[in-house]
Amino acid sequence: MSLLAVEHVDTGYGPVAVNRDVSLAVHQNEIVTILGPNGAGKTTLLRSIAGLVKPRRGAVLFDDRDVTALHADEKAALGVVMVPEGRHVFADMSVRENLLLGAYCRKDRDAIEADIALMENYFTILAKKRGAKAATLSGGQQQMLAIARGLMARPRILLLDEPSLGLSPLLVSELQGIIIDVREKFRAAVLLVEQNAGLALSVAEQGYLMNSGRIVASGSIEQLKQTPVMQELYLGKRAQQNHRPSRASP
Amino acid sequence: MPVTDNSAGKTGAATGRTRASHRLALLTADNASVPLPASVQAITAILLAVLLIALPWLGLGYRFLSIAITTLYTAIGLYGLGLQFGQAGIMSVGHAALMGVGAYASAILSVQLGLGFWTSLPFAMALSAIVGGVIGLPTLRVGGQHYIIITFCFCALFVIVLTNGGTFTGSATGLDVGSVTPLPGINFDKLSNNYYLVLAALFLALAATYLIGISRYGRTLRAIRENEQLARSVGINVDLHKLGVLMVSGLFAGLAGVLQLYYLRHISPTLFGAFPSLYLALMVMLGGARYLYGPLIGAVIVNFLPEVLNLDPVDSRIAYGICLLLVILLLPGGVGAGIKNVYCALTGGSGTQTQGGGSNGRA
Amino acid sequence: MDIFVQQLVNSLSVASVTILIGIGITLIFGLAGIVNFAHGEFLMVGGMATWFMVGAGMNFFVALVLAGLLVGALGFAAERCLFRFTLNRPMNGFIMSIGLSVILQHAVIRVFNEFQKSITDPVGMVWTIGGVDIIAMRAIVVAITAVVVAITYFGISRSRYGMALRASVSDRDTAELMGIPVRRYVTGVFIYGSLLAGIGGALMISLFPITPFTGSVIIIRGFAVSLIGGLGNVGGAVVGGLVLGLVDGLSAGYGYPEWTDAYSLVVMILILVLRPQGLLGGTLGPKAS
Repeated sequence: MSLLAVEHVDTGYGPVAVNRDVSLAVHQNEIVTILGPNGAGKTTLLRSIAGLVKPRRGAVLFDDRDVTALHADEKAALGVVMVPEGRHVFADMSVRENLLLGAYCRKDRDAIEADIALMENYFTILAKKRGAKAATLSGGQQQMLAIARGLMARPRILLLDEPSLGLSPLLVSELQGIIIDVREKFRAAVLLVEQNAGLALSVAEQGYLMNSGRIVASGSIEQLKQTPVMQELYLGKRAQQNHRPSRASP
Repeated sequence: MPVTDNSAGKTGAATGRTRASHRLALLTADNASVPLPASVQAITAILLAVLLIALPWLGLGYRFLSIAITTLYTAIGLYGLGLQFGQAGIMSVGHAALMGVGAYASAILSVQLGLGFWTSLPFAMALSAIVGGVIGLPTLRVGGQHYIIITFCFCALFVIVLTNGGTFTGSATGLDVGSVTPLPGINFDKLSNNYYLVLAALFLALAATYLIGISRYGRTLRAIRENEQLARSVGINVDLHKLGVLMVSGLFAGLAGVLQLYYLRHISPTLFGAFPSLYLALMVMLGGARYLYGPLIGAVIVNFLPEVLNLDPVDSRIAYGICLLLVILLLPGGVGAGIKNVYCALTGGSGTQTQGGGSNGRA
Repeated sequence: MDIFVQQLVNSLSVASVTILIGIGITLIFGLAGIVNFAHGEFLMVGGMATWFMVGAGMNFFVALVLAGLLVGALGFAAERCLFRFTLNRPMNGFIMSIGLSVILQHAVIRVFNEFQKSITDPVGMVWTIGGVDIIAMRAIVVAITAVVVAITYFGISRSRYGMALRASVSDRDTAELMGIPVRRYVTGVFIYGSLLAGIGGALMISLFPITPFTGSVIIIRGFAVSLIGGLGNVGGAVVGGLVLGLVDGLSAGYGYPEWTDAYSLVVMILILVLRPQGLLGGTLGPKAS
């Protein structure tokens, strides 16, 4: 039984179709990645799963419950939380307010303060910049804030949209550890959309390769690495990444 | 056809650009620009032309003809608005002021320099076009809704300037002109001749609108309307196109204004203020800005409905408002869209089914 | 000196009405992206309702509250029946608001008539404050507005809902991702903005006569005020209202009264062109997806 299942989903805007017949699944405590080049439709897919865009066909199931038609705010309350591409921190609000907003949908108000402390502990920069406006943070710091904000909702699954975008290689490797900790410490499954294959392949267990709106390959990370499509697209790129030994579970 | 070409082998930039052009092409092919069969178009045009030409001979009375004239020159102004909104997506609630620019330019030329209809027309139209371009400059920097407020302000300012313009602008009382200088054999004091003058101008406006609509220029405008960023990315000079369409819109408005002046023979500032502008916006939405006959339909409905239903001005305005709400809620393309849909439904024709992927054309 | 203080109170009382609709306009545009042309008519309806109730014998202040509630309900109906369908196409919402404003104006003419309405000064007293004679009602108008502004301001800056509202104005989609029910906030903002407009209308008629067309005159000031302050920025709307009130007062007193309207129009155009996000920093409209 999967935590999140996407079944034969089509998405699009007006007369333009973006995704066609996309199916995927994420299980409890799994880290799954969707890889693909620019314009492959990964973000649109994630936005449909998160509830910002309604799929034109197909279904999204969460805990075996059909959530396709739910809006983003309803999905967040269920535990499907997205960290959007480009971070989208609330620029004019303080770091603390951003974190509080992340916890908006939570019913257990008393635990929120404790969670803020937890986030500040884990992402040390947040404690230092507690009162500062989010706009004053650097790109990498904003990414940390965005992830922390997402975690404040105590999600069951965290949808990460290109977290490595615009980050230095050093921060990208920090990201690696964070994503794994989302599963280990914060006990949420992860659906990671990435262009950075090195990062994605080093943290995920299952993967999907997307191109032109469709899934063109899928399987475990080891399987994916062997497919010719993957080799052709990413062989060159992977050689350039700061390759770390894979920390994915066997 | 969805955009999912399996071009797995192409590299980033090239794929990006072809995909962008492809998307753009899809976006601009909305219901309105999917043409009806040429025979249908030709028949409609001919029937309409015949009807309009024969109108004064149908014996419907002086009042009817007067309303018809008003409807027609309003429609000419509306075609300008229809171009800028229907094709380029730029709405204005100051269009009456543009008509006013033309009207007042012509009137002032008449009073000050003795220029009649024919001689002042080109100047008036040119001035309206220029003003249209100038007030369009902000639209290059700000979004549609901000721009709408600007047009509203411009309109209100225009009235204030006119009202305080002393004898030059006639102040609140306004200006008078004589009749249109007669052409050989044609005396424009006769109402039906006045009607034909306006009708000729309308045919010109219709032709121009049609030509722009089917031209590459029109398609480019629609592309800008749909997705400005995308249009820019495929190399379209968005700014130039926007300014251009606003100037063309000004041309139409100027023409309409001068025709209005020489029909009414007297103009005053309130004719060109906020309320008339709002009603113009209302008319163009009602009729459907993207359809060839949309502006005409809008003008006809708003001008003739109170006659037909025997409504007094107050009730008729309530009716306009309700119609507008209904149109936006139920038929955002206006009556023009409705007619086209009915036609397509009856003939099982093209219309909205050219795009695949389960989409119904423009939402 | 006396005259100056009186002028000040006068200007402030006029500014108060403008501020009240400015807040509604700025919140609605900031959150929903809809330029609500009919907001001026909401104010006018509030004023007309007050006139009617006072004419029927009701106490002014009771009528004021009822007028606020009535217009609040009107705003709710407008949002539920009309504007909610245009959240993703705010241009349609704007055009609908034009239709709505025309309907409201002429419906009022139909129900009453097109002539101006006024009520006698509900309080009818003159207070002597610091040795200066001030018409009590004007001071009361300013006081009521100040209270409303304070409530609004603290509500937005201190409460949880206020925080969520600010986030939604800043970035609607991301706010939804947080679980903030933005659509419900849109409804709430419509109700609240309309409520304020209704109160503004009641206050307005306590000071001057109104006609069914007063709405379209006042809407310009409402836009001007919210643009000066930045759309979505409540504090800005207040400052904008005060600034505009000052300009009006000065113009009426020392300048050319016929051009008074022109000043706010020119100011608006300048701001829209040069600094569309407002002088004090607001939003350009909800960030689209």
